Amino acid sequence: MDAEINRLHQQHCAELMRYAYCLCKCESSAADAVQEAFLRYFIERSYGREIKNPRAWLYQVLRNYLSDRFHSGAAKREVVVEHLEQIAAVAYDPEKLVQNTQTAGEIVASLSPRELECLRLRTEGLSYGEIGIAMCVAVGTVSALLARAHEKLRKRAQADGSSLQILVAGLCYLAREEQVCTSS
Amino acid sequence: MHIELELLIRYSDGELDSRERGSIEKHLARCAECRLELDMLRQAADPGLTVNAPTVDEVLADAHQWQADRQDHGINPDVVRGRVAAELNPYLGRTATSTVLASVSPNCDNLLSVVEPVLAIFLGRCAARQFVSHVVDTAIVRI
Repeated sequence: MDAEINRLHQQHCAELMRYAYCLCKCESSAADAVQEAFLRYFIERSYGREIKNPRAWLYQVLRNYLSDRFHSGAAKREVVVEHLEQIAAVAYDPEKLVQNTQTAGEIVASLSPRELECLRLRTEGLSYGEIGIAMCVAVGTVSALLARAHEKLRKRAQADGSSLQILVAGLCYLAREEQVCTSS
Repeated sequence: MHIELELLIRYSDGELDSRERGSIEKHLARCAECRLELDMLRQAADPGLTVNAPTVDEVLADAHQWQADRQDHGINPDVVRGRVAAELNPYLGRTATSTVLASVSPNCDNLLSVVEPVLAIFLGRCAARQFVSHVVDTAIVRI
């Protein structure tokens, strides 16, 4: 299956990415959607689904996925994250967030909106299944998003010599505060 | 009604015969949404638009992570088979469901290719395809 994915990635990933980008106009969301489409392909092929035209199938999954997200709460919440950097500059107690607003902004920029949202929901105690429902994504995607987010944070924590827990707590605090601001 | 995406892709790629092309163009002349869709497909085909795509390593890491999570949660082929049976029972009945699933291999690697054609007999191909996607969500993807 890996070889099949490898081949499809090589042949179609660039055009799928451009298509996703045309649909959502956001590079990180487009990248997430493309990964989701390939993951779905992997899952369904692993269970024997016959896909006669993989390229068209991937396009269709990508389109359905982004269309669902545009109409879901999760998509609306993504707007929240775009403003995080500005919120980081507002006068919150920096020790409760991360070590400084610059670090927070840089980390937020390195995480995709979905990665950050996943992280926030996880630290609120939601299970993978509940996060999946909240964000309208498969449970496998939740774990993949969390794994990616943790990996980015871990690298950042290593580079800065700071605590991973502080970074996670700070980011999630930022995300929660922003959500409160936009919903009030 | 809009043009199916697969058909529009084939049109965009110049793979349709003149009759099919004619009917697509007739629809495009009066449907702004399909024209927009076609425009996006053409933009996607244009290598001039540069956006950073996920690498194959990232794509495969997602897939392997998904597999590992399932193992951690004890989702084995028997669990999947039981879940699929629960989805099919209300539509096919227990006996027919058992008969259909009897052809599924022990590791379930032919599960969907066995189930989908049977469902297509009762529901038609399009509805069967959608129903199988629902089964994938509820019986396979869910942990």
